Amino acid sequence: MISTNQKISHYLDAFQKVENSLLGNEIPWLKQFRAKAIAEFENLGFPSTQDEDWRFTEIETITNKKFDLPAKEETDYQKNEIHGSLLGHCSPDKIQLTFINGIFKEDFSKNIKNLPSGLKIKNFKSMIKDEPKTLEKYFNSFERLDSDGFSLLNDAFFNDGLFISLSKGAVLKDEIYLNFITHSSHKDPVVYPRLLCFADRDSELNLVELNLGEVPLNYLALSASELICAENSKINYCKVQKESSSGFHLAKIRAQVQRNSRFYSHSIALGGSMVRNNLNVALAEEGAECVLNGLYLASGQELIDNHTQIEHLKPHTTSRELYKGILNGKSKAVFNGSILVHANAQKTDALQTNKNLLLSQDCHIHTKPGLKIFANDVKCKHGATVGQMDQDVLFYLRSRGIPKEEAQKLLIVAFASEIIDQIQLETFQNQLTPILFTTLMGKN
Amino acid sequence: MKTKNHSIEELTQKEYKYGFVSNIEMDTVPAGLNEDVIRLISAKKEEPSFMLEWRLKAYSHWLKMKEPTWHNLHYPPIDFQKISYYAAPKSKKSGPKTLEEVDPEILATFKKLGIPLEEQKLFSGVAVDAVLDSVSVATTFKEKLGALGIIFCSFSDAVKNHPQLVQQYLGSVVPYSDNFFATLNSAVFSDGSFVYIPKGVRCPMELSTYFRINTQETGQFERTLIIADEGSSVSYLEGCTAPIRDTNQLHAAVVELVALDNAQIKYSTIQNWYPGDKEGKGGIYNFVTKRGKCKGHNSKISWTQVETGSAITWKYPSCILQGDNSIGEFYSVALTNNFQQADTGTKMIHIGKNTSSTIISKGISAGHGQNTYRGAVTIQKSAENGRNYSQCDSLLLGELCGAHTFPYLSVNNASAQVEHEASTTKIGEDQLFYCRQRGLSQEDAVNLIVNGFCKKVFKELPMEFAVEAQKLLNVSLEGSVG
Repeated sequence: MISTNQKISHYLDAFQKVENSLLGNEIPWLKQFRAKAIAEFENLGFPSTQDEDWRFTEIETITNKKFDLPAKEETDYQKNEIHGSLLGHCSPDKIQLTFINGIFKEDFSKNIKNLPSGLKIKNFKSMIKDEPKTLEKYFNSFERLDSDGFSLLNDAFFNDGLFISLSKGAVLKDEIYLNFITHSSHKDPVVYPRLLCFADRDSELNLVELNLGEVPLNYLALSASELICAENSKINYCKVQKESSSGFHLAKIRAQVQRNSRFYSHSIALGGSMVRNNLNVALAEEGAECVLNGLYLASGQELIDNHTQIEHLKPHTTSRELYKGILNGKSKAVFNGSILVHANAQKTDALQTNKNLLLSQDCHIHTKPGLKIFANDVKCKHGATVGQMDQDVLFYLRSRGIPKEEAQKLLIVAFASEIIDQIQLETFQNQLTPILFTTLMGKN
Repeated sequence: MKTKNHSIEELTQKEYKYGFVSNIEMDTVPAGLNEDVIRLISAKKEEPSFMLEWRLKAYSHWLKMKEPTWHNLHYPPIDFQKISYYAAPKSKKSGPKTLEEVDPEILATFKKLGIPLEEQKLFSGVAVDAVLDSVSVATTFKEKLGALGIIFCSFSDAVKNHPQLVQQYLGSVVPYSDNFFATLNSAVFSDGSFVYIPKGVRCPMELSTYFRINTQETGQFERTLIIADEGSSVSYLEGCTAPIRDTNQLHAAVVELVALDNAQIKYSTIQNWYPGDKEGKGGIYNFVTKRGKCKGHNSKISWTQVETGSAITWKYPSCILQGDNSIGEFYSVALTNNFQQADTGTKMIHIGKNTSSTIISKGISAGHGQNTYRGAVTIQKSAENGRNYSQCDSLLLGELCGAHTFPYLSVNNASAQVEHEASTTKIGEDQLFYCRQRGLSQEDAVNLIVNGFCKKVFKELPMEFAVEAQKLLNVSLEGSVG
C-alpha cells in the first residue's frame, strides 16, 4: 500500500524533474499554466470513492502504481506494426495524423501537406514556434472549473498536442483521422495526449479519433480534448477507444458551443482495464445544440465509466444524449449524465437516455441520469433502462431457424447499431462496423 | 397575457394561510444533549433497561457521526446542544379555551379543508373534555381492534406492555447506527406509535395517529414501529391535512415497518407542517428516516406521501425487498412553494427473487421552491428477476424555482429489468388557456392541472384522505400561480 501523500508526491517529484524540459517552458503563460495546475493537483490530490463523481469508480489500481513518463521517444517499432489497426488506413486519401505517446509523428501521418483551404493542422510544438499568440488565445478560452486530479496532471505534463482550426465558412465534409497510440518498451508509462480544436463561423469539421494501446504492460493515458464551435459552426467528434486490457484511459473532453452552432459527439468505448470519459459540454449561447451519443462494450474485468455534463447556460438551447452499454463477464459500467439548466436558460429542450444490456450474471451497472433545473420554461426528460435480451424476440428468430448464438449476435448488433447509424460518416462507419463485430464476438 | 400576469402578481402576494401557535406550557428538560439527558428521558418514561442501553449505544455512536452534506438543501447549521430533548405537554389548559380564541386565519383554512367543527377544536389545541365525539369514537375503535388482537398504542405503552415485541423488532429495519438523524432519534426519541397485527388478521379500518388519544402534540423525535405478522394486512395514516402547529424547529422521526410472509402494509402520509413565511423565515426542518422491510415471502409494503409542508424536507421512505416475490411501492407528491426545499425520494433494495418495485414521484415547484427527487434502486446479485419501474415528473410554476432529479440505479444481476424515466416541464400554456376559455379562473385552472398531474399518486391514498389531499394542494399552491 502506498500512502496518499506518496501517490501525489510521485507526480510532484516527476514534475520538478521534467519541468524545465517541457514544451513551451520559455513562454510565461504556459509555464504559469503548468505551475498552477500542479499546485492545484497538490492541493486536490486524486479523487476517491468518497467523492460523488467517483463513487462507483475505484481508482486505487491506478494510484497504487507508479506510472512514469516514457524516458525517450520510442523508435524501436515499425510502421506496419500498427498500421493495420489505425483508423483511416483504408481510406488513403484522407488526412491522417498519428501521435505516439502524445507526441506528433509526422512519418506516421498522411496527406498533411496541401491541406484544404481554411484548415490549419499543427502540433503544439510548431504552434509555439510559429504562432504562440493564436495558441494562447484558444488555450485560455476555457475556465476548466471542472478539473480533477487526473486532468490537472495532463495540464501540467502535456508535452505536445494537436491544434486544429478551421477558418470562417470552410466546410470540410471529409473526416480527419487522429490516432493516439500508446507504445512503450518501458514499464508502466504514462502519456498525456492533448487536442485543441477551433471551428470558426459557419464552418464544419469532422474528426475521428482513435485511442489505441499497444503495450502489453500497464499504462496510463490521461488525455484532454478541448473543442470550440464558433457561431453557426458544426463539429462532429467521434472518439473510439480500444485500449489494451491492461491499459487505463482517463479523458477530459470539454466543448464550448456558441450561438446557433452544433456539437456532435460519438464516443465508442471498446474496452480497457479502466476507461473513464468526462465529457463536459457548455451550451454557451442561444441556439446552441449538442448531440452526445455513446456506446460502451465491457467484458472480463473491465470498467467503463462515462460521465457527461451538459450545461444549458442560455435560452433556446437543445441537447440530445443517448448512451448504450453492453456488459459481459465480470465487467462494470458506470454512467453518470448530468443536465444542468441555469436560471435564465428558458426554452431549454433536453433529452437524456441511457440503456444497458446485461449479458452475464456477474456484470454490474451503476447508472445515474441527473437533471438539475433552475429555469421553469423547459422541456427536460431523461430515462434509463437496464435489462437483458428480449426472450420473445430471441424465440422468434430461433423459430425461424436461426441458431441461438447467431440470434443473440444479431440482437446485440441491432442494439449497438442505433448509435453507429447516427455517426453519418460512411467510410468511418464501414471501418468501425467490423471492428465492433470482432470486439463483440471476441467478448462474447 | 397582461391580465394573467396581473393575477399572478396578485396571487403571489397573498399571505400564507396557516397560522402558527407556539405558546404552550411544557415540561421540558434544559437544552443540550449528554448521557444524563438520555438517562433522564428513559427514566421519565419508566423504560426497561434494554431501552436505556439501546439509547446510550445510539448516543455514543452519534457522537462519532457527521451531519450529512450530500443533499441538495441549504440551511443554517443546526446547534444540537441548543435543543431541548424532552418536552411533554404539561396540560391542555393553557391552550385557547374556545374556538373563538383561535386565529381566524386558521379557522378559515380549516373551513377550506372541510374539517368538522369538533376536529377543528382538536387541531387548534382547544382544551377538550373526554366527551368530545372523536375521542369516544377512538375509544370504540380501540375496543374493536382489541377484540382482533391488534395492538395499537403509543410507543411508551408498547415498551411497558409488550417489551418482547419491541425488543425483537426495534432497530431491525433502521438500526441505531443507520444515519445521523436516525441515530439521534434512536438516542432521544420521545414517543410515537406502535402497531402489531397478529397472524392472518386484516385490520378492519384505517389506523391513524389521529384516533390515538393523546397525540395532538406531535413529538419532535417520533418513532413508529409497525409489524404485520404472517398473512395480515394494515393501512396506516400519518399526519393530517390540517396545519400542524409545533414549537420545535428540528424534527427527526423514524418509521420502521416489518412485513412477514404474505403480509401487506400500506403507509400513507400527509405532511403539512409550517413551511416558514414568504421570505423563507422559520419553518420546520423535517429529517425523517422511513424504511420498510419485506421480510417474508409475498409481502408488500406501499408508501404514499403528500409532502406540502416544512421548510426543509429530507425524507426517503424505502423498502428492503428481502422476501422472495415481495413488492415495494412508493407514490409521492412533493410540493415546494416560497422558499421551501425538499430533497425526497426512495430506495428500493432488491434482495429476494422475483421482487418488484414501482416508484411514482411527482414534484411541484413554485415560488423559490427547490424540489429534488433522489432515489436509489439496487438490484443485488441474489435478486433474480428483479423488476423496477420508476417515473419521476416535475412541474414548474414560476421562474425562480428549481426541480432536480438524481436517480441511482445499480444492477448486479443480469436477469433484472430496471426502467427509469423522468420529465420536467412547465405547466402547459395550452392546457391553461383551454381551462380559462371554459370560464375557469386562473387559480382554478392551475389547481385542476396540478391535481391531474398528481392523480396517479392521489388514487393510492385512502379515499377521504385523497379528497383532503387534493384540497390541501390547492391551499398550498395559493399565491404561487405562474
